[in-house]
Amino acid sequence: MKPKIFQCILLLSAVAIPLCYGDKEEKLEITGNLRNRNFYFNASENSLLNPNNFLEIPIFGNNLRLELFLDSEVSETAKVYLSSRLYHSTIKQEEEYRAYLDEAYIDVNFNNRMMLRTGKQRTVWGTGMAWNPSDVLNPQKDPTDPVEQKEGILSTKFDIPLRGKWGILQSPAFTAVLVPEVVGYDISATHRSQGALKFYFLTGGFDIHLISSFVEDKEPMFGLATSGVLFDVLELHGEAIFQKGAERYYITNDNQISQNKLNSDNVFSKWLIGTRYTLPRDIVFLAEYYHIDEGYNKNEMQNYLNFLRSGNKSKLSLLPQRDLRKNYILISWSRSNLWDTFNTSSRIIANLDDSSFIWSSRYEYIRITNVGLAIERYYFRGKKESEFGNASADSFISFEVSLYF
Amino acid sequence: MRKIFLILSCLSAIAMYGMTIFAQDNEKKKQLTAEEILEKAVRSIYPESYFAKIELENIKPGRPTKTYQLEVYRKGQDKTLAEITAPARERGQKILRVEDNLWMYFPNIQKAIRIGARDRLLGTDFNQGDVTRDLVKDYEPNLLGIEKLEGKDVYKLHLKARSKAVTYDKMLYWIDKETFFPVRTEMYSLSDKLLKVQTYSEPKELADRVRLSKAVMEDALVKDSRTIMRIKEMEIKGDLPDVMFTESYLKR
Repeated sequence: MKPKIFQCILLLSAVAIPLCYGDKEEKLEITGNLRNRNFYFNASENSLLNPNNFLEIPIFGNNLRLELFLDSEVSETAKVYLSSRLYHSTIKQEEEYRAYLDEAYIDVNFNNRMMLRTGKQRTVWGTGMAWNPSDVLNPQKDPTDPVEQKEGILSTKFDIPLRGKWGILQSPAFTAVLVPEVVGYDISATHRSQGALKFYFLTGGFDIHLISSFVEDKEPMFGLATSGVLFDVLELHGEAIFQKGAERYYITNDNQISQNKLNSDNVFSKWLIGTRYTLPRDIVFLAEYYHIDEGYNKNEMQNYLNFLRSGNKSKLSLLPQRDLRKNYILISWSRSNLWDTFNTSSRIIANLDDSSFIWSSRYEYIRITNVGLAIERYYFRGKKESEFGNASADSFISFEVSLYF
Repeated sequence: MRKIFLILSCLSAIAMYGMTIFAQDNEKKKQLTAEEILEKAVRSIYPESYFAKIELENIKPGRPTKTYQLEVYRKGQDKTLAEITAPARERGQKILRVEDNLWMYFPNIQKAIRIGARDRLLGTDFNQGDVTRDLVKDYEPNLLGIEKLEGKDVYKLHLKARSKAVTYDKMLYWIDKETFFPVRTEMYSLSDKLLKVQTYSEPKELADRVRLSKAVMEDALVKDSRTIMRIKEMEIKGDLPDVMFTESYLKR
């Protein structure tokens, strides 16, 4: 992994040094943050978090992360942006270095009529907080920590804002994204390209995004996302994606990974509805319901759990790591600037099919400018053979210090 | 001779009558409508389209003072884009307003979230609507009269919200009769409860004329809680592209 760090630093330097000594010095901005996290992790024998007791538990660990962002205007119409993460982890006296180049792209603005962005980048679509079924360009994110999805994909994006209003459609705009190679799409590891289109407009106070995605040799996906505010306090959002037929991986009764093309005459959907309400004293309440048509049934879920316990880890990454069943809810509440000293938040993600849930709480001390001290705790509850209950003895506690610059 | 004197007297009388009528007309012209007074007061602080660097100083009793820096772009009455440039922890967050629609962009999740005008801005005493809305467009003014405030003759305006989407249902607005600089604003709830008081001071050369550069917002419900807004720099920008004020541009 170490060479990756050097690649990262080399790339950052290659762009930064000429700019620092060039005429555009004043337009170069390097920012970032340094976070040190100490954590305690324990998991039960059959936990999904530690399949087949892969890890020796309990674990006390340390994780140091440096995030760097470089933003440079190389001309009046072009800019370069880089975002990278460097990690140093210590777990049971074993050290590990990791480096990620999350984004590295060039932005070119063609007289405000078209914007081109090419390189490694993130294109985030969807209005949901924990889940984004219409986010067709990124891997499925972790609903318990959506902020941690940071790595982009190699792609070229065109943003074309349309001038004026189209009747009742305000601020209409097209976005087209071309992805030369979709990574890890299926078991055969066939290289496929992807194209995605989005048409955005604002009408009646609601954002509307119409989305389509085309992957080579696959059925196209069509979707929409919307959000708006009613009575100045009640935010509503929703999104959905539809595909004729659905392909998924599941575990057979004889413990093998299999690919199943679900009935292609039917349309399968993933959809989400949610609301956010701001109460007095800056208390924000958020609720979301998420449905996945092709989620595992009870028998398939049992096979999945057995597979994890069997220790057969080949191609494990192809299987869904989260959102396995059909119905989920998120309930969260947060309070910012409590006594101008704390940001607090708490969230429950529940699997409605097996009544198991994760409850996480985070308390962050914010009184020192540009420094954050946070403690976070996850609780897992449910029956033994359930998604989160399977990990009922698990616990994860972390304490972190962050410095922003 | 007598005839000449008589003619001259008549002409003088006609001329004086004409001048009186003219003076009365002028006086009538000087009596501005409530809308004109409000427009003049708002434009005495902000031009119609501009770029400004703004500082917000959040003061709470017994707690350390927090300071935020913002860059604000405004185009006409309907479009405002504000970006937080400091402190580093909040840097890159953006607020966009297009008519009654508000978005808050968070760079860490690369997502723009819809917000309401009543949401607080960065935990300060300002609401999102306080820094992005336009009083001329959002309120219907009514002139209550002229009174003395801080030793000055001031217009007292009653502002009634034109729609329920705005932050405050009612405001009282005092404006210096001489300079049209706002002096004091009181914001009220639907039930006539005083929520906030804003005062203005420190005239300074900004965007080609003298404008008030400091506004203090006090929370009437929390003793000694206040936020000071200072306009550090301002320039008139008549050519801001419309695309800057779109949801997709927030991600750029």
